[in-house]
Amino acid sequence: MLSSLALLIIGLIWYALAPSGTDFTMGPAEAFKATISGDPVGLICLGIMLLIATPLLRILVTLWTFLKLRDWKFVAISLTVLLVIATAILIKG
Amino acid sequence: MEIAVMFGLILIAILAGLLGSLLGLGGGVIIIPVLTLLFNVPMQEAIGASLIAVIATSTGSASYYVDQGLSNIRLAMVLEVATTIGSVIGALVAVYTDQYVLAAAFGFLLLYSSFYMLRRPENICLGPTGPCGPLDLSCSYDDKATHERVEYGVKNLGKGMLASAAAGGTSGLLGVGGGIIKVPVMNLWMGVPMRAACATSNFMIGVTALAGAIVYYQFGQIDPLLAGVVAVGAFIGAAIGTRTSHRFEGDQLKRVFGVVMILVAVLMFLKALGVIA
Repeated sequence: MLSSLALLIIGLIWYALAPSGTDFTMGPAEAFKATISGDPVGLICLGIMLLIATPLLRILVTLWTFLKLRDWKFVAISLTVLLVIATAILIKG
Repeated sequence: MEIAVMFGLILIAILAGLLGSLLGLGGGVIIIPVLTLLFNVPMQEAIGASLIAVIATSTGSASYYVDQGLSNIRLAMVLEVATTIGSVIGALVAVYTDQYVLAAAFGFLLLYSSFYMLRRPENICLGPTGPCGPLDLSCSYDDKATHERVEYGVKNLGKGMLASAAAGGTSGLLGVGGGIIKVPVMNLWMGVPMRAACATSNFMIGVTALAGAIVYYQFGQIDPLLAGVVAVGAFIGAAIGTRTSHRFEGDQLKRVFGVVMILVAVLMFLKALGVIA
């Protein structure tokens, strides 16, 4: 969470100092390459992707907690949420 | 994007994150109108940026609220099942429905509920009322504003699930986190105290916005600079909001929320009339 914030802030300041023309989002590999080759937008994209991943991590952590607590009903509930989200992505994509 | 624009955007995003974290919203209800009306951002990009902002606000507040014990995680997960299903259906339905009719209907709904938020004082099930059907969702927390330990039970889960599905639907359609529906539903129907409702909503909306954000990102509907600026601002706003939330009592938050609902209702009517996109 904080790392995504850090990436974003650094990326934005870098952009402010040296704007690049890029205005589209990139996938992880591209963004990484872009950052290394000096495009701040690459870093920003990495930050955004990391940010998007956080709620997902949150569900996984919650799932893990319920597993440890052996609260099976809520393990099932958390898994269902994950499933629905995965389906949503697949349907719309 | 010029520095001045970035600066203005960050301030607005901070405000959105601040209000959002206090009230259980993602800030989308502020960000989308501002982006589309003031900054002339195309609707799709505005929604994309708003979804990112929702995640930022949610993430920025969730860890704090969870630590404080304010977020009712079990309730959040149960409702999220309905919400995520709702958002899928909502996105599919959106293709076939008249946006104007939807906006008008939403506006009336908000207006109607806002009166309840404004008039009725806190009406929570104090003391554990026992499991709500097969699930025990009761929870407790220490209220720093009133210095009491609050315990509450959760009721009306069925209605809550339906409403959450509807909230999920609006998320897909309007690019918001759905908090504007979830908070009143939890507080007015399910017996959750206002501060817990807001905190739980904050926990949920990040999850709700997740699927939408991924799709928008894949389809290139997100402007990285716009999203980045908005995310940073929302994050900061949320960090401030969560740490000042203890100064407010549930009833005060309720009233502010009611006012926000009225404002959003007005926006919805404007949208229905075609005045705004």
